[in-house]
Amino acid sequence: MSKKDIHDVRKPKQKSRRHFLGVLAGLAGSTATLGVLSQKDGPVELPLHEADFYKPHNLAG
Amino acid sequence: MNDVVCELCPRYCTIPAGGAGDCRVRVNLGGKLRATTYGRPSAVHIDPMEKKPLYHFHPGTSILSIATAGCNLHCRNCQNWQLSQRGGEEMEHIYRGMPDQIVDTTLNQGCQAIAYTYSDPIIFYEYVYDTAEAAQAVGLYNVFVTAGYINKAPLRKLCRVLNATNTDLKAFDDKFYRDNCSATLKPVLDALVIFREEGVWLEITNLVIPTLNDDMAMIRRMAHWIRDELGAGTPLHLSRYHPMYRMRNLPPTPTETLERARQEAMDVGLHYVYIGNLSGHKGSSTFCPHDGTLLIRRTGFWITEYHLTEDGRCPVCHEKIEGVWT
Ligand SMILES: [Zn+2]
Repeated sequence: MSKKDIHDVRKPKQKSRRHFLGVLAGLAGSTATLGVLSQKDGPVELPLHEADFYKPHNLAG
Repeated sequence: MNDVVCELCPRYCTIPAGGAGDCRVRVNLGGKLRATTYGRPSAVHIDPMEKKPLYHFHPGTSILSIATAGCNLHCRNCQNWQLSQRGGEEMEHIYRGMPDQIVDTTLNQGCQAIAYTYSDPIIFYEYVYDTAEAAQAVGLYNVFVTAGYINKAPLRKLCRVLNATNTDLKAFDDKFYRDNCSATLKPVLDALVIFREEGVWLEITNLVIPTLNDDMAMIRRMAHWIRDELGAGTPLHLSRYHPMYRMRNLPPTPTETLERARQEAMDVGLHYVYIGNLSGHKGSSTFCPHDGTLLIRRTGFWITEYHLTEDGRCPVCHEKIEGVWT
C-alpha cells in the first residue's frame, strides 16, 4: 500500500470523500452507486454484528 | 463475570465486559463478542491486482480493496499504522458498506475481485466471510492479504470463500516476530500450509529489512521451507523496506541485498522470486523457469509486456507456469 492510501485515510472528511469518489469514478468511468459507501446521508446506525469464534470465560477453582 | 475468550487468532484474548481484544475492534458487550467494524470500512479503493501483490492471479485486472480499522499485529514498521493501530472510534471517517453493498459496488465498477487488505482482515473476519460469500455467489473472486496470524479452524472455514492470498512471511525467525510484530512464527507457517491444502492461490511477501532479517542463511532456510512445504512454484516477493512508523533508524534495503536474496532463493529452487517496491527492476518481471524466456514485464504495478499463452504456458518451450491466468 502506498503513502497515498495512508493520506486518503487521514484527509478531512469532505476532501477525502471527494477523492474517494473521484478515484472510483475516474478508474471505472462511472459516477453512480457510491452513496452506499459514503457518509453523505450522515451516520446511520447499524446493529453491532456478533463475532464468530469466541466462548465465555470462566475462572477455574 | 461476563468475560469472553476470543478464539480467532493465536492471542486468545480474554476480554472483560466493556473491553476490547488486542486488535481494538472485537469488543465484549455484556458477554457477547461484537465485531464492531462489520459493515464499516475505513478504506475503500480500486487497485491493480499487482499492488496486493499478486503476480500470478488474473494479472492486469482491477480489484476493489477494503479494510477496517484495527490489527492483531503491531509491527514497528507498519506502513498503514493510521488504519491498523487504531480502533474504529478513532477513525476520521467510516464508510457504510454492508456485504451486498460492497458486492454491488464491485460489480458496478467493473472489478472482478474484492481484496480484504491494508490492515489485517483477520480482525474483521465476519465481515470478510459474509462479503466473500456474497461475492462468490455472483462469480467474483476473493483475495485475502494478511500476515496469517490466525487460528486453524477459522482459517479453514474462511478458505471456502477465498480464491487467492498474499500472505506475509515477515522473517523465518520466531525472535523477529516477537521483537518487531508482537507475534510468533509458527501460526503463520501453519496458515501458509492451510492455504495450500485448501487450494487457495498463494503468493508470499517477505519484507527484507537491513540487519533484522537480511541474513542470507535465513533467506535460504525460508526458501527451502517454502519449496518443501508449499512447492517450488509458490511466488515469493522480496520487498524493499523503507523507514516507517516506529522503525525509522534503518536505511532502505540496498538493491544489492534484494538481488542477492533473490538469487539465493532461486538457487534453492524457487521458480518465481520477485523484487518488490523497486519499480522497473528486472526482478519484478516473470521469466520461464525452464528456459528463461521473459513472460511478463512489469513496471511498478503495470504490465508492459505479456507473452504467456492463453493456457498459461511459456510461448517458447510450453512449460506450464503456475498461476490463475484467466
Ligand atoms: Zn520456456
